[in-house]
Amino acid sequence: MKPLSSAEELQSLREQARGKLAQQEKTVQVKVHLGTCGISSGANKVLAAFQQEVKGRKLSGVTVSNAACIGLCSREPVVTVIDPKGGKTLYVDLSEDRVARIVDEHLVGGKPVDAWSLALDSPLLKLQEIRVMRNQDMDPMDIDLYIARDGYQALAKALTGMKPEEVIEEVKKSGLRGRGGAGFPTATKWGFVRSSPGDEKYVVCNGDEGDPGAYMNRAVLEGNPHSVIEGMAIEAYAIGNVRQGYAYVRAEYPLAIETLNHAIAQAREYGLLGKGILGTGFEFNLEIFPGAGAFVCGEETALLISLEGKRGNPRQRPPFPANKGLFGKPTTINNVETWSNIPSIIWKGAAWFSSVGTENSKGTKTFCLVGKVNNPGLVEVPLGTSVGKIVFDIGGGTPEGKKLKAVQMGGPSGGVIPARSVNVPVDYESVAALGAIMGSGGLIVMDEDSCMVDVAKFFLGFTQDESCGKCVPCRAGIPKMREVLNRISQGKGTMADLDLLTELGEMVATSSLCGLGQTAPNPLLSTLRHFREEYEAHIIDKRCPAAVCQALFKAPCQHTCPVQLDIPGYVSLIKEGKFAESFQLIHQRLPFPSVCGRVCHHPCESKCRRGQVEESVAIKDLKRFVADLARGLGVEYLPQKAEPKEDRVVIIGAGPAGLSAAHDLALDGYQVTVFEALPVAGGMLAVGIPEYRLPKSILNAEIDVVRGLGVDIRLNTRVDDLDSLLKDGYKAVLIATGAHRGDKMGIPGEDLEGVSDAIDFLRELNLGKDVKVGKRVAVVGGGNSAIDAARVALRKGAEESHIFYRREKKDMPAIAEEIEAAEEEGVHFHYLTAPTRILGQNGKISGLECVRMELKEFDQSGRKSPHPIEGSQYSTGTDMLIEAIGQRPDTSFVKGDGVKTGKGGTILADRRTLATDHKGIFVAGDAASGPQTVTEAIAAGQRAAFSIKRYIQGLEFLPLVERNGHQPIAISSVPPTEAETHEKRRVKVTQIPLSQRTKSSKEIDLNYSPGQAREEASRCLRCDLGLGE
Amino acid sequence: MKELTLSINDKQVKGKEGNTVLDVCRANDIFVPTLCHLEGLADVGACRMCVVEIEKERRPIPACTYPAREGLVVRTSTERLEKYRRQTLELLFTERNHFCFFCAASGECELQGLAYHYRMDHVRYPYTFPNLPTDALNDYLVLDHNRCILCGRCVRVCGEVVGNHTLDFSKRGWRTMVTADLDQPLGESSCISCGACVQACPTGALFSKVSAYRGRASEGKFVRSVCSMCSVACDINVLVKDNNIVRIDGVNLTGVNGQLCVKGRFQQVETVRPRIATPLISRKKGTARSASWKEALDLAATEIDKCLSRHGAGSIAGLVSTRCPSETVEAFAGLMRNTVGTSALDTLDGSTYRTLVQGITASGGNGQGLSIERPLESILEADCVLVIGADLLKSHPAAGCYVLRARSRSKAQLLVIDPKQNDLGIRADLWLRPSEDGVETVIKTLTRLLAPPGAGKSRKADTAAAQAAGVDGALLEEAAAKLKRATKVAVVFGEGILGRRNPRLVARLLQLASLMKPDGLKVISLKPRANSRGAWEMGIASQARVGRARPKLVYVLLGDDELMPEDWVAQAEQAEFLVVQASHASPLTEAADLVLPSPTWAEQAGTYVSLDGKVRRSQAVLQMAPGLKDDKDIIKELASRLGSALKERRQ
Repeated sequence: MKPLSSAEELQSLREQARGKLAQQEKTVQVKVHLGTCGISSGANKVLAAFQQEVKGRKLSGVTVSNAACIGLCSREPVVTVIDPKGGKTLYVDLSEDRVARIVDEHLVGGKPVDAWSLALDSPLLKLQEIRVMRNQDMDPMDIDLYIARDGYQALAKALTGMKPEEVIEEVKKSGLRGRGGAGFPTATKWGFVRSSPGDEKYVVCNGDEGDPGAYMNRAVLEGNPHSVIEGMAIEAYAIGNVRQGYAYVRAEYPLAIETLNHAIAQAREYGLLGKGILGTGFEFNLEIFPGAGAFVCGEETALLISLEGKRGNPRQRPPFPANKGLFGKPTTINNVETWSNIPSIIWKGAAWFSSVGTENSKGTKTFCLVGKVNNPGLVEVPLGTSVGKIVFDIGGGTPEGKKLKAVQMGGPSGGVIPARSVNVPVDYESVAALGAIMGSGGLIVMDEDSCMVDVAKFFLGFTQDESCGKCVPCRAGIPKMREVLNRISQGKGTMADLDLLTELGEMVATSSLCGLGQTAPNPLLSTLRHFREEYEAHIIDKRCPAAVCQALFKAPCQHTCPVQLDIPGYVSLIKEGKFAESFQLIHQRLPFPSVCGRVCHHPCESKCRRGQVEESVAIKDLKRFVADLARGLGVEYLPQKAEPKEDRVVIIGAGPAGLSAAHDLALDGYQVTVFEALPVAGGMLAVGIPEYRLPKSILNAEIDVVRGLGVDIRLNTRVDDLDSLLKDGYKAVLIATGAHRGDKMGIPGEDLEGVSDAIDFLRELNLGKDVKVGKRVAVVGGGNSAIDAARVALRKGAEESHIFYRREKKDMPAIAEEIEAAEEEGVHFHYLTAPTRILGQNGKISGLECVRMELKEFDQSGRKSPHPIEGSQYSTGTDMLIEAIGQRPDTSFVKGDGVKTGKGGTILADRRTLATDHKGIFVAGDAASGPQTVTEAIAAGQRAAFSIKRYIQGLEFLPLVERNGHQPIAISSVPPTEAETHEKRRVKVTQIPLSQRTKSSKEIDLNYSPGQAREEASRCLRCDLGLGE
Repeated sequence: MKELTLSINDKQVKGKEGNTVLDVCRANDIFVPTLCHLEGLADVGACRMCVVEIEKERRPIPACTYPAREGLVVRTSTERLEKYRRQTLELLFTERNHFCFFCAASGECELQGLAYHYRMDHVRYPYTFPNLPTDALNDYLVLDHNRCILCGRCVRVCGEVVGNHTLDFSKRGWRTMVTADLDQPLGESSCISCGACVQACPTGALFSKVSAYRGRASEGKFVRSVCSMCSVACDINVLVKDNNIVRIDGVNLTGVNGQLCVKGRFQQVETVRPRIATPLISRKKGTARSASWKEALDLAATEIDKCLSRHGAGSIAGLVSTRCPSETVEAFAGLMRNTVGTSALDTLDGSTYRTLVQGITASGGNGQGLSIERPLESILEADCVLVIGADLLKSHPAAGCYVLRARSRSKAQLLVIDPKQNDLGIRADLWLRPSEDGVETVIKTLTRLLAPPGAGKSRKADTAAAQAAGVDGALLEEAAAKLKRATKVAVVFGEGILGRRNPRLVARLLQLASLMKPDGLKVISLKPRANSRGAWEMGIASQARVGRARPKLVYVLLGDDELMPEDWVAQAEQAEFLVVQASHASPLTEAADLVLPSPTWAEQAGTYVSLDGKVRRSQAVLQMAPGLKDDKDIIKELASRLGSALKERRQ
């Protein structure tokens, strides 16, 4: 090919190429995307299979070609089929054995195989704004295709129609900022280099992308290499006196280097690089320099020094590369993505570029979305898009419904953005304000299973190894931060360590020589800022809430359990068939094994490592099995009770918290009296949970065990004077009155007859009162009470039971199994709907006016906030409305005793010791924390009992609880056999038939048989043995 | 240079354009702590101790790299800065194993000094206690990584000043280590043991084996003197404690003439040669006995007198070592010429001198003599250095380092012509290694290749000549091309040329040098001893009368020289009476009839003239050992005895 000698020749070449392209577009085009990730997933085989099939069947009118990566990394291999008639189809997760069917049905039959394609209107594709990655759908090895899409027109425009200053001015108007991370205005940098004296200057492309999990630049170099070449050539012209450019590309990107090399050779052949470009006097050459793999070489001064052939250490600025850069000459150095943006800014104009983005951050940005996200991959969005939109809408949220905890932004030197801040628009300033950085665009999504101390440690480990070692703060400071974090994650940290870390982090960030050291403390400082309580949990409670920091626990299930139950122990005993021992092991720590075996929210199961294989072990069901079996067999729990003591303690409230505290105190010999206002003991267990979930007989049997220890439970006794109790000689008072008061919606009509509250409704039913249930019952809310009320209503004769919830199903706080069961029983769910008014006739409820909701921005919980859709109101008939939107403690009896109440009527106490400001008065359970779960209430009761014991003995409070359950029971330390670790789904408990459920209050779940239980228990991986770590 | 006004700590201070903020602070006596900074080395801003607050800069920035500008507002000691500095020190102390109580640098350690300055009584970070090796395989210096703070001063001094680039950093981050070559033990590396790194090291990471634990700076005193180990005559700072040499430092480590070499820095701290403590009289070989000064000097006077009267002044010859300072040489020459009246007087390296001046004369430089030579520093400005017949790194290591430095700093080309093993040769861009006899041919051929066009050139003849000399013709042409391209050539030659006693060879070499840009004859010859040039300039070595005299009595003033050309030994031994004045025992003192003890270089003051004509004065750094006399006094006493003897006889 003769080099192009004028802009006109380039234009006629463009017309030629367009013609070629138009011919191609008349055929069915099969484009196989061959990025690095595609190839590693087998895209080459898919390509070969298509070629073979098309050739074998002699299909005319089909073109099979290569294309670049379009960012669907988790769905590779990806193939686009464009049918001139039928339009575009995107096939994902392909393998070569699926090719034949696509050829049959789609290429031959004209009908796309929908099962394997990704809908083009999915948010993943729809919400992106593809600009930098605009050419990824073509063969990057063909310069003609690039030219057909106006490639090199911008260069021609600049060379023949613009003065260098005008080029810089255009870029300035576009508002482009450096995409490498710091976001320095690109045109300003160019201006510096242009005005810096020198007759030899350089331009350099920074392609040393080193952040773990980031590969935006690789995709551009592999998919759109000419845009980088063209961008650099335009800038070389704009700056003047530049004849040579270098592309510093990390050597770990062989395909990027190969593609760019090929593109450079093509550009040279076409006369678009070299001397006399397009017939002008302009000369520009470009060479690739493969980087040797040091992260720090992404720092501009280090990169330039490395380019000179020396050890890639950064140097102190000033002088800046704009004045003294490569070989001491003025040098512009920009990131791959920055370069790639230049041609379209010049060709389409600054206004086009700045049409998207925010006021100070214009244009689009590519991001690498990785970690705990459903659609990991490469995305391109306008700057200013919120983190939540990227993670939830485009990324599809976190897998397995786990809760988003934070997003690490900017790679190992970035910081975390906590879930409560996901509304933040991703632009340079907003991200920095949260303590993270834009960086080159890595987004690592982390869910509740990520420990923030561990995250900080991990990233510091990376920067520690990648520091060049030149300046002291970075070289020595990062390892010190890591060592301190290490001791925290081993439970050996102190609160003073947090100050030490903050101080050191700030010093390293401020006084390090280069960007690496200056940003390395970001993960530490930002996690400390946003997740301080998690650090405190490690230090004070010796707990890792995410169950990651191994040194703090034996097994993640036990560590996550609010009462620290020895789960591997009892599961192992079940496996061995030692059911009685298993029961003893549970009961000595947990006073309500049968209850918890039924209604525990089982956080243990979400951390169970078996869950990473296929499904977690049915820990809750096993507990119920062994507890029920023991009772059936008459096995008794025989704890060692201490010598009786003189000291008397009074507990107000016979719920799970109060009774657990009573249990522990009585075991230690204290004389415990429990006052209960209701006619039954058990609190919410007795009056909140329906019979079909927790039979009263079982609850009462376990309460009887507590009574058996000598606890005096006085029913129907309301307390309203705390001080007098202390005066009566009680050494301590524990308030454990729960949260028995329902919240109101605050809409018109709540006073109508037929409107009630779930708490009241369930309590009255549980107390055996005759409650009239309507025919068409509406329940408002999404928690367990709402589900219970709706299901109970069906059992009490309602013809229809409806649940109205203002968000989506995945947002419901109720236990997932309960929602499922309600659906099975025929409860109607109305999501994204909220009542606005209760309609009435003659003082009685007649219907409900509702409004449809839409989810908009994210709230503090990381969920999207519902907003009413105007004009979507509708009415529906109902004769009973049960409100279940929330509950709060009724603490009206606390007055003027020095015991303070706080938000939602809760009683204020130290979170760890549960001591109130009033000496001798303690508080536990929902009364202190607001509505929580049964098991958390039990744990709180045990905490309170421990504090009360120390208080009575005149000892200092301790933040750590010593719970019961130290009587040793031998547990096998035989790890699971290899066969037991093979994939095997959980053994399901049998349920009574659906037909029987709504007719009675019979318990739905049946128990395991001993054989089933032993089989299920054998799935336990015995993490407590510490093998394989 | 333009003067600048800056505000530092709210005071207006002056600086010069090109200064860094640190320079201005130092010039104005404003304390700014530093660790990685060393005057004369490129600043790297690594230790972060000198961070200062500069208005409009977002973060604290090192003063050592920040260029001073008019109107700059600087603060050197804010609460935040002092806190960072203390933290930096804490980090350094916990990073490796700094145990001051058995460190050779304790008391002089800059890290320790700053810890005292900041009253660092404890550190809050966990100690790392790394298990790092100590490299003690070099004969003279030790690199203990446990005490290294990675400031890089050793690396920079080795590269920028010595030009040898032995030391560098290996690995990254907290694993970074100072390393020699590609991770060789120092003793097996390219290290030339000049010890510049030892002097540059702010802590005890690099220390001298010969000086360690002999005493601290605070316990002794530094005496400024001149090194007499070779004719570069470096300035030295000698640390003396209890009349012993503890250590020898370069006076201006990073400047010209201050880095020293293995001989100057290490080899003269402790001598193992047996000292001569009293005059010795030996009637028969191997029967030496101590004698009093009176007896010895009387004997000398008597023997000289006897010889004079029997054989005349011509039968007495005097030989003096050019390691002796000028005053001693002068006194000796005075004694021999004036008192004894003999003209048979020479220096031990007289023939070298005669070869050199005759060569200069033959090349057309009649009467110019040594004045055609250039100062040693001109090597540093050269863009090409041609070294002929000299193993500089062995014979004149400090001068050798000038060549390495030129090569390293200004990328000067290095050409070596030497048939012998040559340490510069292996570092050269081109090493022409002809046969022993081929040197002249190579010089001749190079001259022809460099001569203006048309001067009877024949490629064929050149190739044949090169072949005869045992050199690859292509290499020879490459060498010529390099010399032609260069704009500032320095030609250095030494023993390999001068030792051949062939003035024509010198003349040819000078002819070649005259073809070099910019102005030709930019030559430097390497003189054998510290004061060769000084002694030569007194005219002592102008004519070789000693050889022809076949003297009956020979008086050799050796000082603390240890070398003696072999033919002299033979001649001296043939004499009927041999007087040797020397500080240490040697074969020559063994052969002597009378030995007079000399003081060492360290025990006497004096003047030396360096190879390039610089006059340097040395001070006595030690008190003379009891019972010794200054060489000049010995000569004076002998002269006075002789004078009276002669007077007596004449009467």
